[in-house]
Amino acid sequence: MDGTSVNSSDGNLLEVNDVTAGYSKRRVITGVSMNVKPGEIVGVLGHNGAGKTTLLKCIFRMLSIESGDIVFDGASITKSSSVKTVASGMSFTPSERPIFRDLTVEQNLELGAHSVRDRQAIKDRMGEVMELFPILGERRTQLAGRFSGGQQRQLSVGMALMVQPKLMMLDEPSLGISPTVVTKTFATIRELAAEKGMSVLIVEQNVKAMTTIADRVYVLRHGEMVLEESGDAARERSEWWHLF
Amino acid sequence: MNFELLAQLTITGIVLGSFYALMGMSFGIVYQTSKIFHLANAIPFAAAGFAAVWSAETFHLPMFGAFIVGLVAAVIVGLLILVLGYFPLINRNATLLSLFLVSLGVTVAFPNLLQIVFGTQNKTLQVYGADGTLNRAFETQVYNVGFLTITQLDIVKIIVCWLVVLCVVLFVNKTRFGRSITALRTNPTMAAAVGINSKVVYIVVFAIGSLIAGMGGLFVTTEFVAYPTMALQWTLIGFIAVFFGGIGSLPGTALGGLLLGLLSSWSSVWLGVQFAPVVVFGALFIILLVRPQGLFGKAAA
Repeated sequence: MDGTSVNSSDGNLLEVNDVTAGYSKRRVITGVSMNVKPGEIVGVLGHNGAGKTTLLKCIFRMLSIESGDIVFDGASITKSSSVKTVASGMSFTPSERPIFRDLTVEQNLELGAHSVRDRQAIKDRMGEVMELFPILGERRTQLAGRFSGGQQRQLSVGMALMVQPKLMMLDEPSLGISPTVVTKTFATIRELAAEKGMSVLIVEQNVKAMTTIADRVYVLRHGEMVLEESGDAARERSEWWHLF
Repeated sequence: MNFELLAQLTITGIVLGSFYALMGMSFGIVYQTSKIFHLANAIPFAAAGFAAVWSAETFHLPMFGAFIVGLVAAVIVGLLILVLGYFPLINRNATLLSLFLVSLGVTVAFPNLLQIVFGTQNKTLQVYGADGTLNRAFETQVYNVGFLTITQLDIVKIIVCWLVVLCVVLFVNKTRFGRSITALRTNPTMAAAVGINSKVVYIVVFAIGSLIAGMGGLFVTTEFVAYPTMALQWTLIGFIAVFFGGIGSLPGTALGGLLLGLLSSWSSVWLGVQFAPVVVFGALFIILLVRPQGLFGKAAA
């Protein structure tokens, strides 16, 4: 990991401090601050175009930031790159095309472990993923592009697990899959977080699905963070639309 | 058309098509991975020829020594174009059109640079003999097998071209690094998400593409001569092979190159050899009309 090691306040695994970023001269997020604690599931909700994906890309260091600071696992990653963030224990699953369609399940999982050098560790982790999602084991030699949306989503989560991330970031994991599969996928994420002590940061438009598993929720509106509340408070909230 | 003529044209077409396949692999591996329309692939082609001629005469190198210098020069100039020309623009999220314009600019400028440095004369690859005189490096043998004629250089060309095709296809499809190339080609966002360093992949594919272009330049220089504008026609053939054979499929590109060579050779009976470029471009036009993804390419999902 790049940068000077810093002391993370309150034991946060991830801290985003006053980050402003965008594409060329168009600002998408302005002065955004948030954090994720070890083992916590944090959701970021917001309307289409609110800047949720931009925020994830900034954290993952796929997009350079104009100002602000990002600290992961006690060290600043503001000047780091996505290659280094993966190696330092972060995974990112994009909302669309989160797999390699032209490759088999096995090849996809191997690529998920691209930053892992230990061949035995890759084999062991692949076995664990296939145990978690048996359909992937059954269809291990088939091209991933032939899978249903739900199976592709399972594979994408499996690919993220191949690096045994400290922080798993998922961009709209409910996109393009049926409500039943959404429920199952989110339940699996909840179990994984509890079992492996892994933190999860999910951005979603699907408020209902998100609030079922989140320990804490942020709301992003027009590129600014307008709300932070506990998962319990979010689940009790009957009205969301005025926040979006 | 009698059988003997057809057979001879087929042999000629296979030789030509093998070279088209080689050029297709050179352009294809770069284009398919980076989506950069790397017209400047012409530069390593010419650089290899000129470097081989220059090193053989200046350092009294034997032919294979000059070939090695030529290939090293090809890889170096290919990587210089990438690092000094493309990377600064990629870092600024420049469009593919901007990258193409850079490519076009250096492709136009390089032959002028060669003329300034080496003069406007054609350059023959010559090596020093035991008696201290300069002689043409390679005089090819002509073999007559029944009614068929083929040269020693043609046989070498077929073998080398298809060995290169095989090596590149195996490298891309069977190695861990090759899978990174496929990943970057098919889904750049996911490739970044799993931690693939796109710049490292670009450096490797540009090195491979430039090395193959350099081989092409050495074949042309050995068979004919080196001259400043020697590369453009073969670079364009390479790009036609990619689009004719199928975008996204390196074996398709190689087979596309072979088919184009055969078509070009067969058509010379009726149209004359001067129409070969028309046949090649005509074949591409028809394929783009009826099968835009190319003969062996997959339609976009």
